[in-house]
Amino acid sequence: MTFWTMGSLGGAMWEPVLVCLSIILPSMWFLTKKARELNILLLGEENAAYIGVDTHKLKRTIILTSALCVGAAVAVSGIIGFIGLVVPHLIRLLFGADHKLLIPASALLGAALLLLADTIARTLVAPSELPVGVLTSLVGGPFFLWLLIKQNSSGN
Amino acid sequence: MLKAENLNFSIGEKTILDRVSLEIKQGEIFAILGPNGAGKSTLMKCLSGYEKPTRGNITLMGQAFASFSLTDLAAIRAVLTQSVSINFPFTALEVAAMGRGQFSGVGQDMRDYDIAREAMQLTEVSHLEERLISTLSGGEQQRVHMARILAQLWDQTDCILFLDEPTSALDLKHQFMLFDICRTLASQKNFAVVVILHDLQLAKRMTDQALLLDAGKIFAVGASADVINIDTVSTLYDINRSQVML
Repeated sequence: MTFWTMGSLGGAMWEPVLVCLSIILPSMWFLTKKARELNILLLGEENAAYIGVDTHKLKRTIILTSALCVGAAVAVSGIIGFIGLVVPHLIRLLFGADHKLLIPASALLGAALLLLADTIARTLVAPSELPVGVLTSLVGGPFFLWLLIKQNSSGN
Repeated sequence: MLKAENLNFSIGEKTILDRVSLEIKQGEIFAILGPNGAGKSTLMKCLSGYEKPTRGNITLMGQAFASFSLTDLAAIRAVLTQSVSINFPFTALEVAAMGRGQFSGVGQDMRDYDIAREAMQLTEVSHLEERLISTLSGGEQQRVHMARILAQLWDQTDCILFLDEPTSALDLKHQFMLFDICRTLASQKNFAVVVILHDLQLAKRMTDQALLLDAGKIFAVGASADVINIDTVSTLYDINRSQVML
């Protein structure tokens, strides 16, 4: 339980991975299908409606699907902060804001980053191991602040 | 093409529109004029289907407004709002191509980008297509969004365009460019163009019909050349007759 609240991949087994995947993969496919409507939504709800996007329906389905995704992941890994917060912003900086790329790229880079963090967490204080959530918060917090300040100063 | 009868719009106790009736015909440029807060933008939102009037009827092509779905509407009317701010790194071309949302659903095919490019050529922003929208000037952004609106109704005829202060950030040359585009659409593709303006000289010269709105009521309506005159303008805007320049 303590490891769950701090976030850890220590209890990884194939069974929860498969259960998790069976929820996350279809959700991701669905979200990527909505990429174009999500792009248009960034014009604002009024303008999106003029182009024919049903914004209320879109918001409802997106929130439901992402909640499903997040729920499945957090249920098995515990609370691992900042990866989900930082990665999409990073992708936007690197490749632009098109959701068609943003959604799958965030999933891939997020997974890669978590794997890296987990490897470091396991080797840093070997033979014992650090919960990976502690490490991501330690690194991710300041990084997110830097991102926030940078975007604020370049945005206006 | 678009007919409104006795439109009322109120928020709580405040009446924004009071018994406004009008008819907009195909092939005509229709100006909505009036002082700040007269209800011009609200009237446009009602006419374009975003807000539902508290009372009154609107018919589009003879059919009640409620019978059109969002996608039906998107194929026959496009709207340029006063300002659109995008804080995300999209290129000008990507923004213009967003106008093609309702047609091809998921995949943004090459044809949509081609149309967006052609529309950008019309509004003279082709050279900016790779630039991020946030790095463009106000007038350039306005022209990119104009291209997005044009792309939305590309290849269509008998449509209706709503433009809310489309010239607010444009230099003189591009103001004329905008009205050239509107005039061409009106005469060759049978579009109706509804435009909110503050420049009365421009309205008098460039539009066919004008509706003058004062505190939510119709102050005057008719042919632009007649209805925009020293008498109406000085009374409507509460200024001296000597200050009016038309």
